[in-house]
Amino acid sequence: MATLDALLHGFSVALTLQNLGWAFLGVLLGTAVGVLPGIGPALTVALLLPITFNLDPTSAFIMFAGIYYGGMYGGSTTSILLNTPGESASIITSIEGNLMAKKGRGGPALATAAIGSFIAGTIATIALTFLAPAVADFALRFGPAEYFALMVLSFTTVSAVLGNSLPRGLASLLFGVALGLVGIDSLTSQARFTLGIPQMLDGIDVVIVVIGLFAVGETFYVATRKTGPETINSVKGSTWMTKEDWARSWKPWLRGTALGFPFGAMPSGGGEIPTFMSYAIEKRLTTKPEEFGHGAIEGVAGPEAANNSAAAGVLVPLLTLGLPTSATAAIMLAAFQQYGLQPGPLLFDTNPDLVWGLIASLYVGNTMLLILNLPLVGMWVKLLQIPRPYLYGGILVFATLGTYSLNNSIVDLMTLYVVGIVGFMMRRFDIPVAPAVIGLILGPLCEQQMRRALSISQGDFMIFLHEPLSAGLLLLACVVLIGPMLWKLARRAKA
Amino acid sequence: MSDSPSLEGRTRHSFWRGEILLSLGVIALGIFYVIGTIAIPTSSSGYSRVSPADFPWGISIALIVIGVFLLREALSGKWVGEGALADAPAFTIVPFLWISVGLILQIILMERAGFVIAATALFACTAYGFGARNWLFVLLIGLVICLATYLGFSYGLDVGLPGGVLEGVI
Repeated sequence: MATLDALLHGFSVALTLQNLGWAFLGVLLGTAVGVLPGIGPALTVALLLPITFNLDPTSAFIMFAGIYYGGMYGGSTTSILLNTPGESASIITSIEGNLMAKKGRGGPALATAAIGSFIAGTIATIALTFLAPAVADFALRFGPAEYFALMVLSFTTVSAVLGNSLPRGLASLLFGVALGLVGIDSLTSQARFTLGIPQMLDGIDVVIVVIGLFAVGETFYVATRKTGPETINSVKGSTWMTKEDWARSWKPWLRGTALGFPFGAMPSGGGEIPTFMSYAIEKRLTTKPEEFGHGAIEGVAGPEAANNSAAAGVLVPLLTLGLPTSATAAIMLAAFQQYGLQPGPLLFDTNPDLVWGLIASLYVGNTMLLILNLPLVGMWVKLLQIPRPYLYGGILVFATLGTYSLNNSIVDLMTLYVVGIVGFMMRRFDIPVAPAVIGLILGPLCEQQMRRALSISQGDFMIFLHEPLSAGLLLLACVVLIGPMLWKLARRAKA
Repeated sequence: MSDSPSLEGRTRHSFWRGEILLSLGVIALGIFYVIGTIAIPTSSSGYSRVSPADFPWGISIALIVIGVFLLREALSGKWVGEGALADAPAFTIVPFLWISVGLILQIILMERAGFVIAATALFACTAYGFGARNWLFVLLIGLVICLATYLGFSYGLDVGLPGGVLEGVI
């Protein structure tokens, strides 16, 4: 019952007029940036960090949570109405959703996505409510060695899951970790990898890297591809779902929810795998297989629920272990650090207002999104019609503004440009950018835990293998790294 | 990857393609970090057993190893970026140059001419790179957006931005 009491307390925080206002602003902003191509929730939170510095942390995180959930809703609207899918987790939604919209069934497609997202988001938030305190309790037993092993495991799984190839994922991750090494070492005050530039002593801010990779890199990428004009499907006919649509949607919603949450909650994260699996399952279970490939409503309902459910799951390792497994979670961790807070098991004791206010606001935000989304769909369509030259011009103006206002430094703008070019090449050559962001924020923490463990053991590296839990986690990391290779060799030997 | 057979016939082959250059870049970054790691003084006081160079050593070596794996992926044709796909949208470098001009102008002008002028230049160059051709209109829209942003941030959010030559006027 302690959890329910805590949750009730959370609602008393989230339901104050002021925090309701921040939640509303968050979901509105989140949906808008989710709808707009070229910007997402990670970039938005990064841009807001410099200006929310003076805000009360609880209110800021309630707004960030709204942006996080809102981005998911907005992303699905774009993938249904536009012929170019946005973020990778909504690619699957765009397959059937776009076909439905072309056939004039855009309304029901949007409705099943929105209601499915609401149901998945709510059930997954309930799961988060009860799972998170349990995980936090368990994590209290973790020492530096366990944390180090957990981060190494997370590094390998994140690299394997986010992207198409393990070496490319690892390259991205290591690039991020390497950037994270720049600056003064916190334990010995040695300057490392600063190239003699004084501004580099403070290290490279994660905000600059996120803005560089997501805003500047993305703008370069879109600008240099000669694509045909985008067509926006209009929402014709009834927006409401028919009785048959309901009958065909509710099971995929629940199955998608059940698939998404565990995937999100694992320290590997990744919203794509559960959406692909949900699509495959719905295709097999449907009573109308002939409609798949021509706009089947199950193909929108299932993956969309899985996507949102995974998004809630990602908050479990973030809040209880301080382990981000998506770019947005990584930037939220940076936000915690900005306020001098360290997510982890102790956060539930030291800042119950913040943690439970945040969790309660997820319920609130989800409900707001359901109410907001369908009636306002006309407004979102208008947003899609902003001419690209002005949209991307505006994105870059705000990107450079956000970067400059961090430290009022021109060196930061130069770093932004360089990181932007790297991000552009990564997009162009199919290297995932999210692992770089995770590596940048988690790398220094990983080093800290490693050195803490080693100073406990007087420099003996065997400490990581003596503790059964850390040894087990490291073994799992090895399996993720070389397992696929061994599997291939074994199959080749058989053939 | 299982989809590699379907890439047959869709790819253009040249040795100096981006995939190979990027792999070499990762190896070069690793070597750069090895040099940087050697340069870290490892003092013998306090945390002597855990030197600030230990973790960087691991990362530098990992970078080189992964670079070699990437190179293998690139050479074997398993790694094919968009640039090498014949059916991908055509690539055009001109917008990249325009946006770069905008970003560099912003860097040069930010503290000399102020945020409004620097950001308007960036907006206009980016919009031009994206195909807007009416310079006057683009500059006007950019100016309105940047001026409004400047005023909003300076007076509404209390975030100080460089006023530059317009200092005192607005």
